[in-house]
Amino acid sequence: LPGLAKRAWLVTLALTILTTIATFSLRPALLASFADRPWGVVLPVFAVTGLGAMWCYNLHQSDGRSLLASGAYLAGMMLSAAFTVYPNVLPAIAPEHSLTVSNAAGPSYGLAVGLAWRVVGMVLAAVYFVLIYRLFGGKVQQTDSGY
Amino acid sequence: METLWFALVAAMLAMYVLLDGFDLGAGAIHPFVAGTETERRLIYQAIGPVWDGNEVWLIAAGGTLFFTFPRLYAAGFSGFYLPLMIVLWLLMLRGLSLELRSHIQNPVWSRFWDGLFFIGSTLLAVFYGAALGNVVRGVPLDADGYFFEPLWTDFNPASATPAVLDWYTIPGALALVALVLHGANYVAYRTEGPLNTRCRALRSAPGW
Repeated sequence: LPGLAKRAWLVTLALTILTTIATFSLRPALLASFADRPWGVVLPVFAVTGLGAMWCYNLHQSDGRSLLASGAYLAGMMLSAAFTVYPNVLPAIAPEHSLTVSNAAGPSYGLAVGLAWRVVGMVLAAVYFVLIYRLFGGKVQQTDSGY
Repeated sequence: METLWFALVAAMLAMYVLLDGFDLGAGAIHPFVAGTETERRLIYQAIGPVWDGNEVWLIAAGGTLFFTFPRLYAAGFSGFYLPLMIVLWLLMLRGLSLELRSHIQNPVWSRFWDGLFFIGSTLLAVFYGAALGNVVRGVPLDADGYFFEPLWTDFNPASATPAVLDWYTIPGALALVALVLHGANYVAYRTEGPLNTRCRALRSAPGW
């Protein structure tokens, strides 16, 4: 594993290509998502850009930007996967049995009320997120207490 | 409205992978980049204050699925019952490792939790990737909207029975390597000295 990990970027690139080929050869219909909604191409482009940017920032030993680039790659891959399965939320091997955003959703009243509560929840989560990363940001120093 | 909730759940899961992803990556790399007890504790201290906050996004996404797409929640949690139980145990073992490791200053105690932290982090990355792969590929849902997938089969691409871990577990391997990179980037960003140098070497790319 250590030997493999020393070339983690190259392995990530190879596995990204392999996964993409395997996925579209297994379910060619997923490609139709990009034909139907061409704007979605920005998501895989975002992922590939993140992977490329990681390589550049590694060359310049820029740790913070390299972290942002790997984050962009992960977000791009996740959102690309969500984009290709939509409108399904859980695709079935037999397409007529798939769970879609329409047939799997809860009652519309619950969705509307949930949206209002979600705004409050997300504001709290955002405040906590900013606070915790500001408090514990920067280079970590060895201390005897804590973790 | 349904489409908006789909986008919000996808965004929450992406946020979880972004944030807890570096925790998982740090756990998977820590036996290889941290040579001393001090360096191992530096890694724990880098993720210690933020790991539980990062996992809130997973809980938020799970809770949101419960009321926005209840049929998906019911079908997914019963169909993926065994892998989800494994994921739950791995999450608990990781949390316990992080919180209990430094309570007793004893090499046997520390190494035991280090081992569990490594196993938990590595397997979680593989299971998350395999789960995403299974969702994209499709599951054997029946007309009632339920399914069951075994944990593994014969790893034969021609096999008619899909499993959680089968030949199409490539996304699991991809998730592990990608999170290793993300974890190496985070630990390099938060540390200095030899630990920083080793993380930079680990994420090295051709030409570096």
